[in-house]
Amino acid sequence: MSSRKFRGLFTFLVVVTIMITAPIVCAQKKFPNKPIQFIVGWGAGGGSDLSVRFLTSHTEKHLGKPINVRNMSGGSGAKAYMYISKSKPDGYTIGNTTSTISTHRFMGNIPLGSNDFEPIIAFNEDPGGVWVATDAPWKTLAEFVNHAKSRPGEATIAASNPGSITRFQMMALEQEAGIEFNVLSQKGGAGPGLVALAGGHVNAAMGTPLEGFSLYSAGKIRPLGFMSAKRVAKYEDVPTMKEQGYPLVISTNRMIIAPKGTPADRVDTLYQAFLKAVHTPAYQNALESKGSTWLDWSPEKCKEYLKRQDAIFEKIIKKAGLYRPIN
Amino acid sequence: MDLFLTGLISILHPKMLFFIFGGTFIGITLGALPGLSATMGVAILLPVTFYLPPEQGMLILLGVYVGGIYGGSIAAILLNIPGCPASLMTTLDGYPMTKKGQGGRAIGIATTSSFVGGVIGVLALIFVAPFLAQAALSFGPAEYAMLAFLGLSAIVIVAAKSIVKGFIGVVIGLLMATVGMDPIVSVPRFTYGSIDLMSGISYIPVVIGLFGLSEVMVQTLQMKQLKAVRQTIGQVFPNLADFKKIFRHFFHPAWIGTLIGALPGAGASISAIISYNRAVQASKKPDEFGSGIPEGLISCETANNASIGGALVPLLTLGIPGSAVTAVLLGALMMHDITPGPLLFVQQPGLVYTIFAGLLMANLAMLILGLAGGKVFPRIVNLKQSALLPSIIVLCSVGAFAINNSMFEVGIMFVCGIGGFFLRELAISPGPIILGLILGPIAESNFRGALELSRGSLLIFVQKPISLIILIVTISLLLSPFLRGWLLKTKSGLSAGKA
Amino acid sequence: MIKNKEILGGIIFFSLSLYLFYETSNFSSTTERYRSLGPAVFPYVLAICLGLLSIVLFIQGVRSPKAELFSFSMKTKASVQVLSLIAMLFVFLIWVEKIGFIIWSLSFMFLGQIILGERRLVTAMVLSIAVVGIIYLIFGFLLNVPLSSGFLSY
Repeated sequence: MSSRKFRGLFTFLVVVTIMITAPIVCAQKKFPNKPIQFIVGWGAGGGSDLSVRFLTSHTEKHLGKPINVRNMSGGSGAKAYMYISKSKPDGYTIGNTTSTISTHRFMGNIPLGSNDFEPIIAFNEDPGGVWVATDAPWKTLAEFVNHAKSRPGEATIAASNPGSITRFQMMALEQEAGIEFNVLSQKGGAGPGLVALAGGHVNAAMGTPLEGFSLYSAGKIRPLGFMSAKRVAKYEDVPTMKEQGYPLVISTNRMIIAPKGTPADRVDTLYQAFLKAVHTPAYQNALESKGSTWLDWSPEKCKEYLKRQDAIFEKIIKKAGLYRPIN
Repeated sequence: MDLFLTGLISILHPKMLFFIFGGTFIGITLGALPGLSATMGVAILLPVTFYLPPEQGMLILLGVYVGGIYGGSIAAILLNIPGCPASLMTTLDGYPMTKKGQGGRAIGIATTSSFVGGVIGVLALIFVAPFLAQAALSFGPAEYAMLAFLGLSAIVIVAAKSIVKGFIGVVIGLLMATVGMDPIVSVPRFTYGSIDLMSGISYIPVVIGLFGLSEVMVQTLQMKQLKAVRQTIGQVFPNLADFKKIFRHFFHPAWIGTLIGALPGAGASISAIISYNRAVQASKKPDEFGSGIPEGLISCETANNASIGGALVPLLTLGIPGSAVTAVLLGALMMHDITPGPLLFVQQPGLVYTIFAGLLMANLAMLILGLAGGKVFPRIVNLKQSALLPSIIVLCSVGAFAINNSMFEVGIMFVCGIGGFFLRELAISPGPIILGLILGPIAESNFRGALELSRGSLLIFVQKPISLIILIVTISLLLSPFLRGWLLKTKSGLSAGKA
Repeated sequence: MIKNKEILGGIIFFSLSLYLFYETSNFSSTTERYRSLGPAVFPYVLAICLGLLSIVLFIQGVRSPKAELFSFSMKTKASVQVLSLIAMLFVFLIWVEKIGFIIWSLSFMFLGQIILGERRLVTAMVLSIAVVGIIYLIFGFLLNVPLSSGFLSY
């Protein structure tokens, strides 16, 4: 080999060797000493993705290292849950959940449930709700339920497709009130359903206070009730379903989780950083001004809540005949 | 009116211009790379905008949006790979022009048409937004289903060389779209127990494989025979003749693009196909379409950029996203504590008019950057094949991976690449397949959804006026080849009888 | 007997439609109620269309005078090049998780150019580094896409 080619090859090899060994050298210091990977099980730009990006943008300065958001959509979070559970439990891989962490196992989609992860913090919650057009004749939930009761299978309502939290909320309402709707299934969350409602194509639609906020402010739709324990910010004159006699308290609850076995001190470091972010006024205002609810639950409180959430959904799923866990 | 001028003046500030041009540039780059789309670009830049005041943040994102939709055309014209689905139709006439050595001219025409379309879309947004929004809301499941069928029929009749083969392509695409969870009852179809398949086959890796990888294979086979046609860079800015064509043909694509863009759930790609279809139907020389004529380029490029203005109509007036990118923009607005809707116009008129002015400026930025780039981009094609082709393969693989950070999409790209190659052997072009894949879910879920609402009655499709109109258009489109043939036979029969 | 592409295509698509008929009849039932069209309807209708179209295609093939099966012959150098590129891509894609993106892309670029006829090794290497460098910058750095580092993952 000519000496010119030899030198070129040599430089090439040196460069590659440096690129390989450098990262290994850096791995030995205090946590976190490199960026954290945050797996989002939903597509870029969707509701979950945006809520995570917003939160992490406020968290990075408290953590000292960047948080890299990676989208890994598939099966309403199922793919991400699988990936997180198989990742190294060293605190550098975490991810977000919605209430689907409780539903996938019962429906047999994946063998993992809320017990298979370490929760870090719960940061956001949105209760389910029923909306009608602003000029609809029904002023209370009871009026609408009676309308549906008198015409079983005819009152139309838009909800996400089966297996989603919104759908379970609708089923719970049907089960509680003893009615049967004619359901229009929509993919992609409650958004398209609310649009169909605004266009007058269905009688009612399911949606959280956050999802319906824009159309509500535009005066196109209004809520009949929300499935929350207390009345929701920005919707103070809307009674909860509990107040109206339908004791349903079901929300989409968003948490951050880590693989099982992540050391408790690292979980705590992460928790403290996210806690500070959640307590930032900018963050809280942004959520409350649109009817969303922020949370700051510790890992223990999360575990407690997950037990309750599991129980609620297990009941609904069993009643709907969809209960087929793999393990 | 003075508010508009205020908005206009505020964006002339150097910082704002920097954001607009920067955003547009990033958008064009991302749009041009296969696998990356305007949606991804906007989502990734979103956190950056949190630290900026809302106007500046929005300007960057809008720039990325405008640039992104346009950028896809560059790859579509030069490499026959649509950089984003909106540019699908652009490959039909853009790439043949590159093969004739007119890559620079094609880019010039595409850029100018995009500019014209984009501006008209914004003007529609400014002046008729509430009316458009109301029209958009009146589209329900029945109407969407009919629209999707129109799009599918259009590509079979208009864009495919043989109707049978075009039809087969569409069917293949529709079948691919059924993979995953059924949209109405969530029953898994063709998933074979894989979580990845459970969410269906995403169209981006399919596009990359069908167009990109198979194209590389075809080109490798023909490498010896065709020395790459050297691109005559010459004048990129359209010459007078092309200019006149643009101004004669922009009108219909523009309003079609704006209207369809305004429909939540229908976006740039559907506007492009329907606009192209209309152009072919209305032309006196329909057979020339697909061989590399400017009219083809003009119709789809004008439409897909007009759809941007359209998509912003429901976003700003009702807070409903008109397309995937606008969904992210909605998130951005909400994070900045801004709720779109009629209140926005009252409470924050300054922001609204800055957005309008910013959009116009972004289109101008796109025009300038595009024309300037038009001198540079075609040179890429002049690179020697032995280096260009492996680069494209690597680029496609990375692009496919970048979508969802998983090798599954790369696998799909690979399979579609090989499959696409053999389908091309059979003269089944990739366009109908992709459109089947994109429109399939819209067609099926809305068709079945409409039937759910009507409790099984098919009459719903003729009872709703908009749906009926679209249905009639579709039927006449499907019958047109037979009608034409019958008319010709009758004419020749008559003249033979007379003679 | 299989003298041209349309005949071959017709046969392949027809078999595909038969397979689809079989699969759709196996779709699991659901307790969810629906009024009109179940999950199997669309694929079923599409399978029928495909079956009919494949028959038409077959007939077109029989009636057409064309006698060419593939537009390329497996014996030409170009075909060998395509085949090697694809085979290399396939093998590499299986290994990319282990060897990491940088090594993967550099090797692919380098070997790919050689396969396609580039004789000057230095040029090939330089171009490989340039292209991979740009791609890494845009995707890995600017867009934060985690290009797998293979055994370098820390």
